[in-house]
Amino acid sequence: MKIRRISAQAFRGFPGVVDFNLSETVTIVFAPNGSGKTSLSEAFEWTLYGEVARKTRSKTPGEFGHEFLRSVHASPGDETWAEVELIKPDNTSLTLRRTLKGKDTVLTANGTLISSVSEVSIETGLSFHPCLGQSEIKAFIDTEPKERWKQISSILGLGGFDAVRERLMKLRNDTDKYPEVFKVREAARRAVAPLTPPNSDPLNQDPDNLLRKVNEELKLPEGSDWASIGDTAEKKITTLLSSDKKPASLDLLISGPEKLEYADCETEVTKINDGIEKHREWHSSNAKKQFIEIGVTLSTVPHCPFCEEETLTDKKLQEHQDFLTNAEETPPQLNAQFSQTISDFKSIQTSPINIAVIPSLIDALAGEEDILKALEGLPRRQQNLATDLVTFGALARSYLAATEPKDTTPVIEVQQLGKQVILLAQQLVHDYTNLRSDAVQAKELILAKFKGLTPEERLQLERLQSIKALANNIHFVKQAWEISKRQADLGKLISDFQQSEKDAVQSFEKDLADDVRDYLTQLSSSKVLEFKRFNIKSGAYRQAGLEATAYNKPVNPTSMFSEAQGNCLGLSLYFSQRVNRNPGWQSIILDDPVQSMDDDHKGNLVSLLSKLQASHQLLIFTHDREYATFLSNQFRYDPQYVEYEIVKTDLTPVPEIKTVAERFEHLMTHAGYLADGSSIQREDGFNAVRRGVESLVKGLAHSSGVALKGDLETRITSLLNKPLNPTDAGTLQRIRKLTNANSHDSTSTTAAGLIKSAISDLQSLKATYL
Amino acid sequence: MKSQDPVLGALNALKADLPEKIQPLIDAYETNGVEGLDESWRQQIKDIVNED
Repeated sequence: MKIRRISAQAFRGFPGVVDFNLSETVTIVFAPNGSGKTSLSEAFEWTLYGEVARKTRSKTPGEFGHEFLRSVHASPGDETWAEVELIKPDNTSLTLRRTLKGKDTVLTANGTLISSVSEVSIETGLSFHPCLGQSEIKAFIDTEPKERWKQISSILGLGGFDAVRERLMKLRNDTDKYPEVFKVREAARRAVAPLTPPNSDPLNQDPDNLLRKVNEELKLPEGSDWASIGDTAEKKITTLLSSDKKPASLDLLISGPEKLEYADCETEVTKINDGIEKHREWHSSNAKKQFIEIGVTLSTVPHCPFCEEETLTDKKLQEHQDFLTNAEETPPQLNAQFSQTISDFKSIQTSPINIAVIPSLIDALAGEEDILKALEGLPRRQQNLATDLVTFGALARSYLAATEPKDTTPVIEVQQLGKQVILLAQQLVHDYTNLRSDAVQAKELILAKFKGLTPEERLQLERLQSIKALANNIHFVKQAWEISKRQADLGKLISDFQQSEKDAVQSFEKDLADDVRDYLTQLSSSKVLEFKRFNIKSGAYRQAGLEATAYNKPVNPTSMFSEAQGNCLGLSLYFSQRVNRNPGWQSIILDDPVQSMDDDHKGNLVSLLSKLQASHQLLIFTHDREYATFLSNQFRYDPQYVEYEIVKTDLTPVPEIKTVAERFEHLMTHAGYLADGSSIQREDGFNAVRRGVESLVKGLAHSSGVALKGDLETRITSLLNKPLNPTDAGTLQRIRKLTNANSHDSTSTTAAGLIKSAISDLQSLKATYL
Repeated sequence: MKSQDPVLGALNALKADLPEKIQPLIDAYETNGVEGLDESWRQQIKDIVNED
């Protein structure tokens, strides 16, 4: 694919509309710094990729907001857009246009809306862009080895490996977090854990092995399924339980803790009783304090406004102020802690036994008189305990209310009430302990008579119950096993894939290094400085180092190469990658490639470009006048050579675009268009024909190795016999004379005919000789 | 123009030696790229969990 045209409006350095028609061979754009050459290069990048590499590679991409794309000098009504016309391999045209819409952009291909150029089969990866911005030349060198690895794998067309590897690893790891997987594994873990040996992972048990082991344990025929196992376990459990005479509800008889914890009640009530008098006194004095504070404030009015009597003597005032100074700021807290203790006390489990099971015990133990006697009375005592608790609550609340400062109950009566609280709390604890102790004795009596299952039988029962639970939940175990197995299979894919990636990179890397070395040899004037290879480290921490030598000693190119040498290495990588490994494009776009190079390096680059021109269209931007001249001298004999100069003055922000050299076809098309116009346009048409003759002569001289000198007539003469035959040389001389004068004044029909005839002759000559 | 995807080439080369149940992942990648991997894997897990 090649580029026919780049256009833009209100884009970066171009406030208005600009059109750059490119040569199919070589186009040079010379522009001093700040004139818009990078804007043109970025118009191409932005149109195709929606971004510019300068932003992508920037450490501060936030500075490149959408507004940076729009020319600050654009007319408010003009949209910002850029357009690129491409020539596809089948010679058809593809016009891509991207328009800025707020913060978004709209992209069309031949007028049809598309979301990405990948829809028209253009690779979007940075390594496949035909353009190399100034900021990119050294980017490969001035980067971390880890990032360089990514770039190399991308250059080698292996960038997709990263994305796939990372996604596969994420899928494998994330599977553990899927809710449905978590649920299945928990159920499987619960089912298998009781049958799993210590220190073994319940989820690591193969369901087929489990089936075999359980069949052996239950002595079932080989091949019995989980349904048979469940049935067998159920039958064995029933048989075992039928031999156990101990009432099943006996284990539920004791329900409360051994002791009621009750330490703070007595301490706190005693403390309140001791402090109650002082507490009330404080509240009383606090009320007095507030009253005095008001009085002291009023004392600023020394006399009654009606009788003029003195309101407060100085001595009295001093007394009040002393009182305020000595008054305690906060009251002693007497009952807050006790309120909490009462609440705690009420919430204590005051039911030491489970009286609901007693009727079933009595039924089961019919005829066992001594045991029944032991159980007798337990429910009634527990009910009494509950009643006493209610009484305690009421008494404690009354006591608390009486301790309030505003309560008028005499202090001595409040203290008596507190002592009653202590006594009742002690009674509650005593009754609880006795009741529980009697219930425990009754239980021991029953156990002494009915021992239940032996320890061995109990273990057997537990084992059978576990087997039955496993049989019921075996589908969870199978699912969990299958998920883990599938994850392991995915792990194998990841491992094999990583090896493929490593093999692929190592195999391609050698070829790439060979190419880089080859290009660097052509670009660098130093013959003692050599690029050796990429030092690829694979594994979890992938890196790509650079190895080079200077005078046969190893050096690190990142730190040891000069700026120009670094540029050469960057360009070598670019050519290796985007010329040798980018079959989609036959274009090379370089923005200011020489940078800090000296004349030798510049010459080497021109020489290399002239070789690449055989297979690739060149579009070179430069701010370096000397380099532009180097390029012009090299390529100006190409009849299709185009050279632009962008000029910007201090008077206007609109750059002027001068066409320094034009391609032959463009001139012929232009002349044909002007032939049918006004007399002024026809005059321009004759001029275009003349420039076409000049362009053709340059091309003929270049292809035949003839040095040109003198005016156009002399130059045509010098081509006689080499390569032009006398007839064709005469044709060129005739057309040259035609464009001199006189013909311009002929009638419009005649002049148009002359121009068209000249165009036809020139095109015929070009087809014959070039 | 787009070149042949080397990742797909590598995956296809591995396919024959992979467990059978993992192979659909590669077909899914060929059809829908990286997103296809996600969809195919999630579906596989759902199918396992919904198995009786």
